[in-house]
Amino acid sequence: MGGIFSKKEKSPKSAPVSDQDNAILALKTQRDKMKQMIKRKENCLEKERQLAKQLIKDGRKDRALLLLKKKRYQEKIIDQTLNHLSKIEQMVNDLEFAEVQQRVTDGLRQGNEALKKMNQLFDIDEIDRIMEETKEAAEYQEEISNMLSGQLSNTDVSDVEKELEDLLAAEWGTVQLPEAPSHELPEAERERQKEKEKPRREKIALEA
Amino acid sequence: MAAATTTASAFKWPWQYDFPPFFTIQKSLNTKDKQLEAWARLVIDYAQHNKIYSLDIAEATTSELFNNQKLNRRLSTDGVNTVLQYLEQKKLIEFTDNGRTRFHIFWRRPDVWANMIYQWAVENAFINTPLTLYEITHGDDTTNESFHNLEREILMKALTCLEEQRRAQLMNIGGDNEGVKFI
Repeated sequence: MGGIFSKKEKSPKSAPVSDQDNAILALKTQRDKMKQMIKRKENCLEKERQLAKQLIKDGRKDRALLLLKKKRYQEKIIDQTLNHLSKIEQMVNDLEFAEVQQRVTDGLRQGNEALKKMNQLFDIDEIDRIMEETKEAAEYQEEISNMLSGQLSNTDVSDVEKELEDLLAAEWGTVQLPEAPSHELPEAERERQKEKEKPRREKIALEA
Repeated sequence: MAAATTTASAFKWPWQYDFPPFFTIQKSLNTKDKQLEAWARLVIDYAQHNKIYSLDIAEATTSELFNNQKLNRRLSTDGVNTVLQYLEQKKLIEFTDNGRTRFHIFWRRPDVWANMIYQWAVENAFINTPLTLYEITHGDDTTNESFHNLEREILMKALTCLEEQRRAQLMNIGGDNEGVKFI
Protein backbone atom coordinates (compact mmCIF):
# COMPACT_ATOMS: atom_id res chain seq x y z
CA MET A 1 0.00 0.00 0.00
CA GLY A 2 2.79 2.34 0.95
CA GLY A 3 4.32 1.78 -2.46
CA ILE A 4 1.43 3.58 -4.13
CA PHE A 5 1.84 6.78 -2.17
CA SER A 6 5.62 6.79 -1.77
CA LYS A 7 7.43 9.38 -3.87
CA LYS A 8 9.54 8.07 -6.67
CA GLU A 9 12.90 9.74 -6.98
CA LYS A 10 13.03 11.65 -10.21
CA SER A 11 16.09 11.01 -12.28
CA PRO A 12 17.63 14.19 -13.64
CA LYS A 13 15.89 14.96 -16.89
CA SER A 14 18.50 15.14 -19.62
CA ALA A 15 18.48 18.13 -21.91
CA PRO A 16 17.82 17.24 -25.50
CA VAL A 17 21.18 16.88 -27.25
CA SER A 18 20.54 17.22 -30.96
CA ASP A 19 22.58 15.88 -33.88
CA GLN A 20 23.53 19.48 -34.47
CA ASP A 21 25.00 19.67 -30.95
CA ASN A 22 27.03 16.53 -31.59
CA ALA A 23 28.27 17.96 -34.89
CA ILE A 24 29.32 21.21 -33.19
CA LEU A 25 31.05 19.27 -30.42
CA ALA A 26 32.92 17.09 -32.93
CA LEU A 27 34.14 20.18 -34.77
CA LYS A 28 35.17 21.89 -31.54
CA THR A 29 37.08 18.78 -30.44
CA GLN A 30 38.92 18.82 -33.77
CA ARG A 31 39.64 22.52 -33.28
CA ASP A 32 41.07 21.86 -29.79
CA LYS A 33 43.31 19.09 -31.11
CA MET A 34 44.62 21.44 -33.79
CA LYS A 35 45.29 24.16 -31.22
CA GLN A 36 47.21 21.68 -29.08
CA MET A 37 49.22 20.57 -32.10
CA ILE A 38 50.06 24.17 -33.00
CA LYS A 39 51.19 24.83 -29.41
CA ARG A 40 53.42 21.75 -29.48
CA LYS A 41 54.95 22.69 -32.81
CA GLU A 42 55.56 26.29 -31.75
CA ASN A 43 57.35 25.11 -28.61
CA CYS A 44 59.41 22.75 -30.76
CA LEU A 45 60.27 25.59 -33.18
CA GLU A 46 61.50 27.78 -30.35
CA LYS A 47 63.78 25.00 -29.09
CA GLU A 48 65.11 24.38 -32.62
CA ARG A 49 65.78 28.09 -33.11
CA GLN A 50 67.87 28.13 -29.92
CA LEU A 51 69.66 24.95 -31.00
CA ALA A 52 70.45 26.44 -34.44
CA LYS A 53 71.98 29.50 -32.73
CA GLN A 54 74.13 27.22 -30.59
CA LEU A 55 75.24 25.18 -33.63
CA ILE A 56 76.26 28.36 -35.47
CA LYS A 57 78.28 29.41 -32.41
CA ASP A 58 79.94 26.00 -32.41
CA GLY A 59 80.75 26.41 -36.11
CA ARG A 60 78.51 23.57 -37.31
CA LYS A 61 76.79 25.55 -40.05
CA ASP A 62 75.76 22.52 -42.12
CA ARG A 63 73.87 21.08 -39.16
CA ALA A 64 72.31 24.47 -38.40
CA LEU A 65 71.17 24.78 -42.04
CA LEU A 66 69.52 21.37 -41.87
CA LEU A 67 67.75 22.37 -38.68
CA LEU A 68 66.54 25.65 -40.20
CA LYS A 69 65.17 23.76 -43.23
CA LYS A 70 63.28 21.50 -40.87
CA LYS A 71 62.04 24.58 -39.01
CA ARG A 72 60.78 26.14 -42.25
CA TYR A 73 58.89 22.94 -43.08
CA GLN A 74 57.30 22.92 -39.60
CA GLU A 75 56.27 26.57 -40.06
CA LYS A 76 54.50 25.64 -43.30
CA ILE A 77 52.63 22.88 -41.49
CA ILE A 78 51.61 25.36 -38.77
CA ASP A 79 50.31 27.76 -41.44
CA GLN A 80 48.28 24.98 -43.07
CA THR A 81 46.90 23.92 -39.69
CA LEU A 82 45.92 27.52 -38.89
CA ASN A 83 44.14 27.67 -42.23
CA HIS A 84 42.19 24.51 -41.39
CA LEU A 85 41.50 25.90 -37.95
CA SER A 86 39.90 29.05 -39.32
CA LYS A 87 37.71 26.91 -41.61
CA ILE A 88 36.59 24.77 -38.69
CA GLU A 89 35.81 27.85 -36.58
CA GLN A 90 33.83 29.30 -39.49
CA MET A 91 31.89 26.04 -39.74
CA VAL A 92 31.17 26.08 -35.98
CA ASN A 93 29.92 29.67 -36.25
CA ASP A 94 27.71 28.78 -39.22
CA LEU A 95 26.22 25.81 -37.37
CA GLU A 96 25.57 27.84 -34.23
CA PHE A 97 24.00 30.65 -36.26
CA ALA A 98 21.83 28.15 -38.14
CA GLU A 99 20.63 26.84 -34.77
CA VAL A 100 19.74 30.37 -33.66
CA GLN A 101 17.86 30.95 -36.92
CA GLN A 102 16.01 27.68 -36.42
CA ARG A 103 14.98 28.73 -32.91
CA VAL A 104 13.80 32.12 -34.18
CA THR A 105 11.79 30.46 -36.95
CA ASP A 106 10.23 28.03 -34.47
CA GLY A 107 9.36 30.92 -32.18
CA LEU A 108 7.74 32.87 -35.02
CA ARG A 109 5.80 29.80 -36.15
CA GLN A 110 4.48 29.17 -32.64
CA GLY A 111 3.59 32.84 -32.23
CA ASN A 112 1.76 32.85 -35.55
CA GLU A 113 -0.24 29.75 -34.64
CA ALA A 114 -1.16 31.23 -31.27
CA LEU A 115 -2.29 34.44 -32.96
CA LYS A 116 -4.44 32.50 -35.44
CA LYS A 117 -6.09 30.61 -32.58
CA MET A 118 -6.77 33.86 -30.76
CA ASN A 119 -8.25 35.43 -33.89
CA GLN A 120 -10.55 32.45 -34.36
CA LEU A 121 -12.06 33.22 -30.97
CA PHE A 122 -13.07 36.69 -32.17
CA ASP A 123 -16.12 37.21 -34.46
CA ILE A 124 -16.78 40.81 -35.62
CA ASP A 125 -20.60 40.44 -35.52
CA GLU A 126 -20.39 38.91 -32.07
CA ILE A 127 -18.25 41.82 -30.83
CA ASP A 128 -20.75 44.33 -32.35
CA ARG A 129 -23.61 42.58 -30.60
CA ILE A 130 -21.73 42.57 -27.27
CA MET A 131 -20.90 46.28 -27.61
CA GLU A 132 -24.54 47.11 -28.39
CA GLU A 133 -25.76 45.11 -25.42
CA THR A 134 -23.20 46.80 -23.20
CA LYS A 135 -24.36 50.23 -24.37
CA GLU A 136 -28.01 49.37 -23.73
CA ALA A 137 -27.19 47.99 -20.31
CA ALA A 138 -25.25 51.16 -19.44
CA GLU A 139 -28.15 53.39 -20.49
CA TYR A 140 -30.60 51.28 -18.53
CA GLN A 141 -28.35 51.48 -15.48
CA GLU A 142 -28.14 55.27 -15.80
CA GLU A 143 -31.93 55.52 -15.95
CA ILE A 144 -32.25 53.47 -12.76
CA SER A 145 -29.62 55.64 -11.04
CA ASN A 146 -31.50 58.78 -12.04
CA MET A 147 -34.74 57.44 -10.63
CA LEU A 148 -33.13 56.44 -7.36
CA SER A 149 -31.29 59.74 -6.85
CA GLY A 150 -34.37 61.76 -7.85
CA GLN A 151 -32.53 63.51 -10.62
CA LEU A 152 -34.45 65.92 -12.88
CA SER A 153 -35.46 65.01 -16.39
CA ASN A 154 -34.56 67.21 -19.39
CA THR A 155 -37.97 68.95 -19.34
CA ASP A 156 -37.62 69.63 -15.61
CA VAL A 157 -34.22 71.20 -16.19
CA SER A 158 -35.55 73.54 -18.91
CA ASP A 159 -38.46 74.59 -16.66
CA VAL A 160 -36.08 75.40 -13.81
CA GLU A 161 -33.83 77.45 -16.10
CA LYS A 162 -36.88 79.44 -17.37
CA GLU A 163 -37.96 80.16 -13.81
CA LEU A 164 -34.47 81.47 -12.98
CA GLU A 165 -34.55 83.81 -15.98
CA ASP A 166 -37.95 85.19 -14.90
CA LEU A 167 -36.68 85.87 -11.40
CA LEU A 168 -33.62 87.69 -12.70
CA ALA A 169 -35.73 89.82 -15.06
CA ALA A 170 -38.05 90.81 -12.21
CA GLU A 171 -35.07 91.72 -10.00
CA TRP A 172 -33.50 94.00 -12.62
CA GLY A 173 -36.87 95.63 -13.26
CA THR A 174 -37.27 96.99 -9.67
CA VAL A 175 -33.74 98.44 -9.28
CA GLN A 176 -33.65 102.19 -10.20
CA LEU A 177 -30.22 103.34 -11.35
CA PRO A 178 -29.38 107.13 -11.22
CA GLU A 179 -28.84 108.90 -14.51
CA ALA A 180 -25.37 110.12 -15.47
CA PRO A 181 -24.86 113.94 -15.29
CA SER A 182 -25.00 115.65 -18.68
CA HIS A 183 -23.86 119.23 -17.65
CA GLU A 184 -20.18 120.41 -17.48
CA LEU A 185 -18.26 120.69 -14.17
CA PRO A 186 -18.09 124.17 -12.55
CA GLU A 187 -14.93 126.29 -13.23
CA ALA A 188 -13.63 126.34 -9.65
CA GLU A 189 -13.81 122.58 -9.41
CA ARG A 190 -11.90 122.20 -12.69
CA GLU A 191 -9.07 124.45 -11.34
CA ARG A 192 -8.81 122.41 -8.15
CA GLN A 193 -8.55 119.31 -10.24
CA LYS A 194 -5.60 120.77 -12.22
CA GLU A 195 -3.75 121.75 -9.01
CA LYS A 196 -4.07 118.22 -7.73
CA GLU A 197 -2.60 116.71 -10.92
CA LYS A 198 0.48 119.06 -11.10
CA PRO A 199 2.60 117.74 -8.20
CA ARG A 200 1.86 114.17 -9.26
CA ARG A 201 3.36 114.83 -12.69
CA GLU A 202 6.46 116.51 -11.19
CA LYS A 203 6.98 113.64 -8.82
CA ILE A 204 6.86 111.22 -11.68
CA ALA A 205 9.43 113.31 -13.57
CA LEU A 206 11.78 113.32 -10.56
CA GLU A 207 11.51 109.66 -10.03
CA ALA A 208 12.37 108.97 -13.64
CA MET B 1 54.71 19.30 -7.30
CA ALA B 2 58.13 20.53 -8.33
CA ALA B 3 56.58 23.12 -10.57
CA ALA B 4 54.43 24.30 -7.73
CA THR B 5 57.31 24.88 -5.33
CA THR B 6 58.90 27.40 -7.68
CA THR B 7 56.12 29.88 -7.01
CA ALA B 8 55.97 28.95 -3.34
CA SER B 9 58.56 31.61 -2.45
CA ALA B 10 55.77 34.20 -2.50
CA PHE B 11 53.64 32.06 -0.19
CA LYS B 12 53.21 33.51 3.31
CA TRP B 13 53.85 30.73 5.80
CA PRO B 14 51.88 30.85 9.07
CA TRP B 15 53.74 31.44 12.34
CA GLN B 16 53.27 27.77 13.33
CA TYR B 17 55.50 26.69 10.43
CA ASP B 18 58.50 28.24 12.23
CA PHE B 19 57.49 26.70 15.56
CA PRO B 20 59.35 23.36 16.04
CA PRO B 21 56.64 21.54 18.10
CA PHE B 22 54.27 22.05 15.15
CA PHE B 23 56.11 19.21 13.36
CA THR B 24 55.35 16.71 16.13
CA ILE B 25 51.76 15.53 16.56
CA GLN B 26 50.80 16.48 20.11
CA LYS B 27 49.45 14.04 22.70
CA SER B 28 46.95 16.36 24.41
CA LEU B 29 43.63 16.07 22.55
CA ASN B 30 42.81 19.76 22.85
CA THR B 31 46.23 20.83 21.56
CA LYS B 32 46.15 18.13 18.86
CA ASP B 33 42.80 19.41 17.55
CA LYS B 34 44.14 22.95 17.25
CA GLN B 35 47.34 21.65 15.66
CA LEU B 36 45.48 19.57 13.06
CA GLU B 37 43.22 22.52 12.30
CA ALA B 38 46.31 24.66 11.69
CA TRP B 39 47.85 21.95 9.47
CA ALA B 40 44.60 21.64 7.51
CA ARG B 41 44.50 25.39 6.91
CA LEU B 42 48.16 25.36 5.85
CA VAL B 43 47.66 22.48 3.37
CA ILE B 44 44.58 24.13 1.82
CA ASP B 45 46.16 27.61 1.63
CA TYR B 46 49.38 26.20 0.17
CA ALA B 47 47.46 24.20 -2.45
CA GLN B 48 45.33 27.22 -3.36
CA HIS B 49 48.33 29.54 -3.63
CA ASN B 50 50.17 27.12 -5.91
CA LYS B 51 47.04 25.92 -7.73
CA ILE B 52 47.64 22.31 -6.73
CA TYR B 53 44.58 20.14 -7.33
CA SER B 54 46.00 16.72 -6.46
CA LEU B 55 49.03 15.37 -4.65
CA ASP B 56 50.94 12.14 -4.26
CA ILE B 57 51.56 11.23 -0.60
CA ALA B 58 55.22 10.35 -1.22
CA GLU B 59 55.67 13.61 -3.10
CA ALA B 60 53.90 15.60 -0.39
CA THR B 61 55.93 14.10 2.46
CA THR B 62 59.21 15.24 0.92
CA SER B 63 57.91 18.64 -0.21
CA GLU B 64 58.50 21.91 1.65
CA LEU B 65 54.90 21.74 2.87
CA PHE B 66 55.71 19.12 5.52
CA ASN B 67 59.44 19.77 5.56
CA ASN B 68 60.97 22.93 7.06
CA GLN B 69 64.63 22.91 6.01
CA LYS B 70 65.40 26.11 7.91
CA LEU B 71 64.38 24.45 11.20
CA ASN B 72 65.61 21.05 10.01
CA ARG B 73 62.23 19.67 11.03
CA ARG B 74 59.79 17.50 9.09
CA LEU B 75 56.42 15.95 9.84
CA SER B 76 56.75 12.16 10.05
CA THR B 77 54.90 9.83 7.66
CA ASP B 78 52.49 8.98 10.49
CA GLY B 79 52.02 12.68 11.13
CA VAL B 80 51.26 13.32 7.44
CA ASN B 81 48.73 10.46 7.49
CA THR B 82 47.08 11.91 10.61
CA VAL B 83 46.77 15.32 8.91
CA LEU B 84 45.36 13.70 5.76
CA GLN B 85 42.84 11.69 7.78
CA TYR B 86 41.70 14.93 9.42
CA LEU B 87 41.39 16.61 6.00
CA GLU B 88 39.46 13.63 4.63
CA GLN B 89 37.13 13.72 7.63
CA LYS B 90 36.48 17.42 6.92
CA LYS B 91 35.84 16.53 3.23
CA LEU B 92 38.71 18.77 2.14
CA ILE B 93 40.55 15.96 0.37
CA GLU B 94 39.50 12.77 -1.38
CA PHE B 95 41.72 9.79 -2.16
CA THR B 96 41.68 8.83 -5.81
CA ASP B 97 42.85 5.22 -5.49
CA ASN B 98 42.29 2.23 -3.22
CA GLY B 99 45.93 2.25 -2.17
CA ARG B 100 45.40 5.78 -0.82
CA THR B 101 48.58 7.05 -2.42
CA ARG B 102 47.10 10.02 -4.26
CA PHE B 103 44.41 12.52 -3.31
CA HIS B 104 42.47 15.51 -4.63
CA ILE B 105 42.67 18.70 -2.60
CA PHE B 106 39.43 20.65 -2.50
CA TRP B 107 40.54 24.18 -1.69
CA ARG B 108 37.26 24.89 -3.44
CA ARG B 109 34.51 22.32 -3.17
CA PRO B 110 33.22 20.85 -6.47
CA ASP B 111 29.85 22.61 -6.03
CA VAL B 112 31.68 25.96 -5.71
CA TRP B 113 33.65 25.23 -8.90
CA ALA B 114 30.34 24.24 -10.50
CA ASN B 115 28.74 27.60 -9.68
CA MET B 116 31.78 29.51 -10.94
CA ILE B 117 31.85 27.60 -14.23
CA TYR B 118 28.10 28.02 -14.72
CA GLN B 119 28.35 31.74 -13.95
CA TRP B 120 31.10 32.06 -16.56
CA ALA B 121 28.96 30.18 -19.11
CA VAL B 122 26.01 32.52 -18.47
CA GLU B 123 28.12 35.70 -18.65
CA ASN B 124 29.76 34.61 -21.91
CA ALA B 125 26.52 33.38 -23.54
CA PHE B 126 27.54 29.71 -23.65
CA ILE B 127 24.11 28.46 -22.60
CA ASN B 128 22.63 25.84 -24.98
CA THR B 129 25.97 25.59 -26.79
CA PRO B 130 28.11 22.45 -26.61
CA LEU B 131 31.58 23.09 -25.17
CA THR B 132 34.56 20.77 -25.02
CA LEU B 133 36.14 20.07 -21.63
CA TYR B 134 39.45 21.38 -23.00
CA GLU B 135 37.74 24.64 -23.97
CA ILE B 136 36.57 25.18 -20.38
CA THR B 137 39.90 24.57 -18.65
CA HIS B 138 42.43 25.49 -21.35
CA GLY B 139 40.54 27.71 -23.78
CA ASP B 140 41.37 31.32 -24.64
CA ASP B 141 38.09 32.44 -23.06
CA THR B 142 39.06 31.19 -19.60
CA THR B 143 42.65 32.43 -19.24
CA ASN B 144 41.60 34.96 -16.58
CA GLU B 145 39.25 32.55 -14.78
CA SER B 146 40.25 30.78 -11.57
CA PHE B 147 39.24 27.41 -13.06
CA HIS B 148 41.74 27.75 -15.93
CA ASN B 149 43.98 24.63 -15.86
CA LEU B 150 41.57 22.92 -13.45
CA GLU B 151 42.25 19.17 -13.26
CA ARG B 152 39.95 16.99 -15.33
CA GLU B 153 38.70 14.91 -12.39
CA ILE B 154 37.68 17.98 -10.41
CA LEU B 155 36.11 19.51 -13.52
CA MET B 156 34.10 16.31 -13.98
CA LYS B 157 32.92 16.44 -10.35
CA ALA B 158 31.83 20.06 -10.85
CA LEU B 159 30.01 19.28 -14.10
CA THR B 160 28.33 16.26 -12.51
CA CYS B 161 27.07 18.63 -9.78
CA LEU B 162 25.59 20.86 -12.49
CA GLU B 163 24.04 17.86 -14.24
CA GLU B 164 22.34 16.80 -10.99
CA GLN B 165 20.99 20.35 -10.66
CA ARG B 166 19.77 20.11 -14.29
CA ARG B 167 21.95 23.04 -15.28
CA ALA B 168 24.18 21.03 -17.61
CA GLN B 169 24.16 17.95 -19.81
CA LEU B 170 27.36 15.93 -20.19
CA MET B 171 28.03 14.67 -23.72
CA ASN B 172 29.97 11.60 -24.91
CA ILE B 173 31.94 11.24 -21.67
CA GLY B 174 34.61 8.60 -22.20
CA GLY B 175 34.23 8.91 -25.96
CA ASP B 176 36.21 10.86 -28.54
CA ASN B 177 34.23 14.08 -28.37
CA GLU B 178 33.78 14.77 -24.67
CA GLY B 179 31.81 17.87 -23.86
CA VAL B 180 29.06 19.58 -21.94
CA LYS B 181 26.00 21.61 -22.80
CA PHE B 182 24.91 24.20 -20.23
CA ILE B 183 21.16 24.60 -19.85
